Amino acid sequence: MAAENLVRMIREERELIWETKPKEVDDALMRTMGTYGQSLFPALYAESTTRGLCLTLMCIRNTARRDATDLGTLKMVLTDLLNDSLAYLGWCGLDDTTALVSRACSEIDKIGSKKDFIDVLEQLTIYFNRLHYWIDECIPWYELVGVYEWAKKGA
Amino acid sequence: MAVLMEEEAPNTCKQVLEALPLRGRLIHAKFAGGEFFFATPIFAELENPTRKQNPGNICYWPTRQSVCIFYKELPGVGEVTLFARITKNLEGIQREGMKGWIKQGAPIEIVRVTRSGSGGI
Repeated sequence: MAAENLVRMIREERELIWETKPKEVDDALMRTMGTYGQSLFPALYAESTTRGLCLTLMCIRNTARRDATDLGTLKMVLTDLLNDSLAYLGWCGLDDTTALVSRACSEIDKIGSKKDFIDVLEQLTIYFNRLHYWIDECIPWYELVGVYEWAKKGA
Repeated sequence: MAVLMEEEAPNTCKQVLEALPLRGRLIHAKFAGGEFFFATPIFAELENPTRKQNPGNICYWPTRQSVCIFYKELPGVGEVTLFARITKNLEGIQREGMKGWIKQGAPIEIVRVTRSGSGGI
């Protein structure tokens, strides 16, 4: 798969989730896979993992735009980052995103230029940005803040 | 309604105009205070960098490719591109902001309302 096709694939996946909440988000946030069967920590891990990926992908994108960086190292860093993230994404129950990242990982080594590399990174960044906001929206932060402040008083 | 700051942030305004209508769902800031934002597919560099925010400022946040709407005065936690200012119904935006702190996800759509002269969104 050429970089152009990889970019198109990620863009199409992003467009699918842009205005419609992906089913995997609801599924992931309902999972009671955390310690002692609770769903809070899987939800928080899904939120923090996707938020962290947004920031790290953007950082790599900005680094890749510097002349001093070489394509080979950039591809290794991105592949390692995404491969390391697969376990967390899967554990959080984001199965569609896990499949997308897995497909992207297998194609990164074939990217032939820094321009193509940056194109791929930008699509991935936008994808994770949108996904993260879907997850963020579904977590009842206001209620959690109340419980946290209440619990701190009793600590 | 808001007025674009095309002289101060020309590239960001151009990219925003090209991307209109922008549709999203509002996420409330967790650290910064009276601010909400939504994702865009725009990649633009920082222009007209602004840290301290006034109610009604509309900014682009390059780190998260997001449009940020400030409904309270804030010291700011980082630099963003100030590219538009709300000129009408700031009170309505402030009401929505407070609602968004309690429950996120209100839909938002930004459209162009003028076709010539100073840009309005």
